[in-house]
Amino acid sequence: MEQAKKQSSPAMGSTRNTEREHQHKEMIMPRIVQVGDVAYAQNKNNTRIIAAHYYDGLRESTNEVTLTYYGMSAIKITTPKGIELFFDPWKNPCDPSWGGIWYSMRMPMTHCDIGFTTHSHFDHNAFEMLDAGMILKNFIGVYNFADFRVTGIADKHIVETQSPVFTQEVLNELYPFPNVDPKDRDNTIYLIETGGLRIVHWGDNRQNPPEDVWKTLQNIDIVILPISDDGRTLTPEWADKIAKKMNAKVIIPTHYYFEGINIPNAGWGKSAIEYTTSREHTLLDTHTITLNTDKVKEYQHHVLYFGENVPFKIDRVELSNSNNVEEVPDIEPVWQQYK
Amino acid sequence: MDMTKLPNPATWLVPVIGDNSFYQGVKNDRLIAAQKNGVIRKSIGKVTIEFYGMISYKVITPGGVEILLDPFRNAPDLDLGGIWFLSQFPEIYADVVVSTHAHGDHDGMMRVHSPMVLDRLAGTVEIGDTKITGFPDKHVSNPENEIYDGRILEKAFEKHNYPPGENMEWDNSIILIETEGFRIVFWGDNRQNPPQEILNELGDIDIFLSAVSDDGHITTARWGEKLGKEVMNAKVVFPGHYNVEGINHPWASGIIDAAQFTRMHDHTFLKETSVSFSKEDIKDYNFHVMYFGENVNWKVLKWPHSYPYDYPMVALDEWPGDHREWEIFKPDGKEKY
Repeated sequence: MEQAKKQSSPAMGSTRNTEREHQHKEMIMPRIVQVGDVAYAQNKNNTRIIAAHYYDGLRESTNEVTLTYYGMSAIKITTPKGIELFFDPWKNPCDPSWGGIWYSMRMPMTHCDIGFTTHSHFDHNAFEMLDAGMILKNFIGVYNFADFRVTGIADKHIVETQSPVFTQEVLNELYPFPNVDPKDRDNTIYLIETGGLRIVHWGDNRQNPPEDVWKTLQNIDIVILPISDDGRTLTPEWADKIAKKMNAKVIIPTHYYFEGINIPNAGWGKSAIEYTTSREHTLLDTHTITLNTDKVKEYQHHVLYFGENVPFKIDRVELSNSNNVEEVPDIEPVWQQYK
Repeated sequence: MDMTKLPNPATWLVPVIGDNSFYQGVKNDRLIAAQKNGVIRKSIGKVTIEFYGMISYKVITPGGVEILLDPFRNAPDLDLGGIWFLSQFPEIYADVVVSTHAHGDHDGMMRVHSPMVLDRLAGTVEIGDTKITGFPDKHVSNPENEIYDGRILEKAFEKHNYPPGENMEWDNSIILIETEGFRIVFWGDNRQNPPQEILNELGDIDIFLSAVSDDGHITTARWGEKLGKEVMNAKVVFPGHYNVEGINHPWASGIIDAAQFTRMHDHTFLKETSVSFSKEDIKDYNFHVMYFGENVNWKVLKWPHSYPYDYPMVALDEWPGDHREWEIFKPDGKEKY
C-alpha cells in the first residue's frame, strides 16, 4: 500500500496497459472489451466534479464561452468557470450491419467533465470515448450545476429530410433496422445557458417539433445544427427556417462530410461550404472559438464554419491513388535453424 | 430460427460496446408527457419502492416517474473482481436510470430499457414531479467491518482505492430524490464519513436506501445506524447490498443478509417485492427498518447449492415434442434404403 501511494497519479489504479499506450500515444483505447458503461476503466477520478460542486467552478470566470469542434456533431463547450461539457461523441457501429462503416478513424479518447448524448445513434452516442466525470445520456429535464444550466428537451429524430438525395426511400434502404420504428426515434435538443449565452445543440432532431418546444427555444445566441449541402440531416432551407424561428445570432453547421474522418460515399456527400458561403459567414481557420455576449450581439444568422479543423491529427490515406509501391524486404528465414 | 422475428434481436446478437439503447427500441414518450404535463399520471400521493436485488431499487414517484437505481451486472473484465452474479439483471423498463459509481454491482445500465441515464450524477436534475440531486463524493475504502479492511480490499482489487490518485471506480455520488415532500437518499457505496458540507445539504430525510448488511461489506450495521438515525434522522431505512440466493454468487459480493440488523431495530419484514406509502403513513416512524429480504421484483432461479444436487429426473416420454422426429424418413417396409 505504501508503494502504491508513491506512484504518480493518474496511472495508478488503471486497468490499462500503460506501456503499450506509451508506444501508441495517438491511439489511446480501452484495453478490454467494453460492454455498457466503461467508466471503471477510466484513469481519472471525480476530483474536478467535486471541486465544481463545492466551488461552483474550477477557476475565476473568464466571462467567455469556448467551443471546440471534434467532427460530426461533436462539440466541446467550456463554460466561463472551466467546466467542460462534451456533446455527441461519434464512433462506427459495433455491428456494421447496423448502418455500415462511416468513419475511417476513431474519435480520440477525449477528456471532459460531463458528457451528453442527444440520441442513441452511433454518430452521437460514443460516450465510451469520453474520459468524463459523469455522463448524462439522452438527458431530459433541467440540469443545474456550477455555472451553467442545461435543459434537455425530449422530442423526435428527423425522419423525412426533404433532401433531394436522402429521401425516405433511400434512408429506409440504407438502414433497414428490424426492431426500430423508422417513424418514431427519439432525440433530445439541448439548451445550454452559460456566460450569458443561450446555446442550442440540435442533435438530429426533426425540423418541425411541436410549439411547446419552440417556446423554450427563443432568442438563441448560438445554434449548432446538422447542416450539409446535400441535406443529409437538415437541408440548408430547413436550417434557415429553424435559425429564423429561434432568432439565432450565430449558426454553427455540423454533421457534414469531413475528409479524413468520414468515408466517402458511405452515406455522405458534401460539406456545408456552399451553405456557409451563400450566407453572411466567417470561415474559421481553427477548431476552437471563444465567444461572449458582446461578440455575438451584432450578428444575425451569421454562420461560423469550422470546416475541417479539429484538435486531433487526421491521417488522410489515399491507397487507391498510390502508384509507388516500395519493394518489400525479404524476411529473415528464422525457421532454417530447425533444418 | 428467424432471428429478426425475435422481439429484441440485436441486444444479444452483436457485441454491444458502450451505449446499446438503440438496439432496445426504447421510446421517450413517457418523458415527453412528463415534460409537457409535469407528471406521467395523476398523483397518487404515495411513493413506491421496488427491490431488484443487490442494491437496486426502483423509486416510482407519486406522478409516475420511474427511477431505477444501480442495476447490476458482472464486470466485463474478470480481473475486476470476478463473477459476482448468478443471474443477469432483468431487462425491465424505467424512465430514468441512475448509477452512483462505476462498479459492476452498480453500473449495469445496459440491461435496463430506459430513454435516459444519469451516470455518476453531480448537480440537480428536474424532471416531472421529481428533483434528483447528485452529491459527488468517494466510495468506501475502509468499511471497518470485522472481515475486510481497506488493506484487504486494496489487495483484492490490486488497486489503490482512496484519494489522491485513485481512478474513477472509487468515486461515488450520493443521490437525493425529492418528490411531493419526500426526501429519499440513495447511498450507493459511499464512504461512511463524507464531508460535513454534504451531510448538511442532505439534512433530515424520510427514506434511507442504504448499503447496510450484516457482514458490513459496504456499510456496517453500526455505521448505518449512525448515518441513518443520528445524522439524517431517517424515518424509514431499507437495508441493501446483501446476499440474495440465486442472484449473488456465494462468497463473492455479500456473504450474509441483513436480517440481524433488521431485528435490532423497529422493523417490518416485507412479504412483497414493492411497498408504497404516503408521508402520512410514515410520519411516526423513527429509523423503521423495512426489509425486502429475498423478495425481488423479478423471477430468480434459485440454484442448487447443496450437495448432492437434487436435479429433477423426468422420463423422456413425458417431455414435450417428438423424440424420434427423424422417423418421418423411415423407409416403408424395410430397415434401410
